[in-house]
Amino acid sequence: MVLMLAEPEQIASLSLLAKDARTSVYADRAAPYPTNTGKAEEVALLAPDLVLAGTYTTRATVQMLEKLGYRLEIFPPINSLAEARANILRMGDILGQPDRAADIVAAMDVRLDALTEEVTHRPLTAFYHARGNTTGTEGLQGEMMTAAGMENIAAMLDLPYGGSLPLEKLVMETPDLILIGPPYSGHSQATELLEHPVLVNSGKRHVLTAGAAWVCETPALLDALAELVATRKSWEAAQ
Amino acid sequence: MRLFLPLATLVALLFIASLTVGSTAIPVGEALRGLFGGDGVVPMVMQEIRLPRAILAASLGASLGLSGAAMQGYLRNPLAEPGLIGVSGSAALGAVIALQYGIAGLFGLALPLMALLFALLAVLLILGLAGPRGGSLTLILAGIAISALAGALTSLALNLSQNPYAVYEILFWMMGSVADRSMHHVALALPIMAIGWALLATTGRGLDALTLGEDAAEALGINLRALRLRLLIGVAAAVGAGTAVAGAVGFVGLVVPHILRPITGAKPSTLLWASALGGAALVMAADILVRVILPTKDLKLGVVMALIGAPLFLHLIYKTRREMN
Repeated sequence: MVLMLAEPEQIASLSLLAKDARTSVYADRAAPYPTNTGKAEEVALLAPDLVLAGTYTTRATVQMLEKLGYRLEIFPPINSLAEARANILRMGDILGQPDRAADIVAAMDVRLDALTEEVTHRPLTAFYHARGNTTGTEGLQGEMMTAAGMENIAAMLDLPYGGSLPLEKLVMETPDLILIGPPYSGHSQATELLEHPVLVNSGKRHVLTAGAAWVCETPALLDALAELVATRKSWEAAQ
Repeated sequence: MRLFLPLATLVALLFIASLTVGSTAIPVGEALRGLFGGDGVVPMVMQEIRLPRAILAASLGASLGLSGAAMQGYLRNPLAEPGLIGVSGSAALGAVIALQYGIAGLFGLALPLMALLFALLAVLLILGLAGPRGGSLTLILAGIAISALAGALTSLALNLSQNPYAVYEILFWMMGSVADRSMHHVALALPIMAIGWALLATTGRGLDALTLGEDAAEALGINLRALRLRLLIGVAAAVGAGTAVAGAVGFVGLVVPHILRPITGAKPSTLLWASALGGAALVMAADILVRVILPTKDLKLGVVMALIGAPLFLHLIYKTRREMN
């Protein structure tokens, strides 16, 4: 978010996560900037005018920086597209770039409008994650699935916030689509579950490619939504 | 023979029970028909989720029971058990290294063979440390050391993984589970386990002779070196391949021979196959139990096995205390 709103000279340092293509859509843009690992000592030595932190940043670090007199702005994680809009506008104000933020949000609204449409037949969809967890109807991912014209299997199973869905139960519910996030490198059984033959051979498994787009409140969220819409459309075409 | 029929019936019944218990309720008749073809979700669930689980539970149990009985016969010590003396833990370490460093992808059977190799090293180390007579104290102490080292290295390898979920797996490798394993895992492990079973099955006559002492056994024409070699490779193959796909499950090789020994008249050759059947039955029963107690929580097999096995282990230590002093 900072990368798209701020002038280059406004950025003193970025979180290490900004350069990881798995968690940041703007990893290439982040390349020229120095990074930090979020330790209070490291941040203090940069003597910045402003420190941006997430609610999940360690409490001790945030308190330490506040005590040292730095200006801190804390962003809670987003749970909806509306909150994403609000966060972008707030960040625009904080960074002194309100016009830029307003333009971005306006463009997002236009694109969101174009992507959402009346869907008569919604495919029953499970967004299935490592360790056999499924996405709930509440929260950003759930909202995006609904916006893309999908019927979330979690609604049927009474899992508003998602939760554990045994593989066997998933298969027995006969979903039309099973969405899987992009694979991690390295092996783990938690992610090997997503490669189980019963899923792969079902022909319903669809591996999403836009992993990083889901992470931050940027227009890239709509890339993720567009991928969901495209997935639904290719399912429709196959009916 | 008197023992064979009831044990085989028990294994068959538990196998059917294992196929009919799951996170969704499928009527028994429909479930069993689903095993033999047909379209739809029931055959899919039966053939690709429940059948591999039941096969792995049975074959892992057979491997552990058989290995426990064989090692106890050879060392003439009821505490020699693949889990307790670190063979399972070392096999798990081999499997983790194979998976995390891409060795498992090199060729088809690389994963179970790596586990076999590490299990073999552990058995060699144990036999070297405990000596031919396998005194209880050295056996258990060597086992503790090897288990601890294997466990630590397994955790380290998983902590170093690039996959953030790999850390969750420490529990799996230490406790074992056959949940959500596929036919792919069966195809990987079963052939090598079968080789292990075949090798261990040939040790019966030698182990019987060994109950009279080493000199007497040699006088009866038993080649002790050949016996030792078959035992080593047999245990490593059976335990290694099973652990490579299901993690380290402890206490099976301790509990099963202990229960069956009085019934078999303490004859090692009878105890071998009886423990294989008994082990299969015990692990399947434990696997049914984990699904019934906590259907959605993926309780590990090792938890149930330790609850059954640890008290018995304490009892055995108490009994062998005199020998240790």
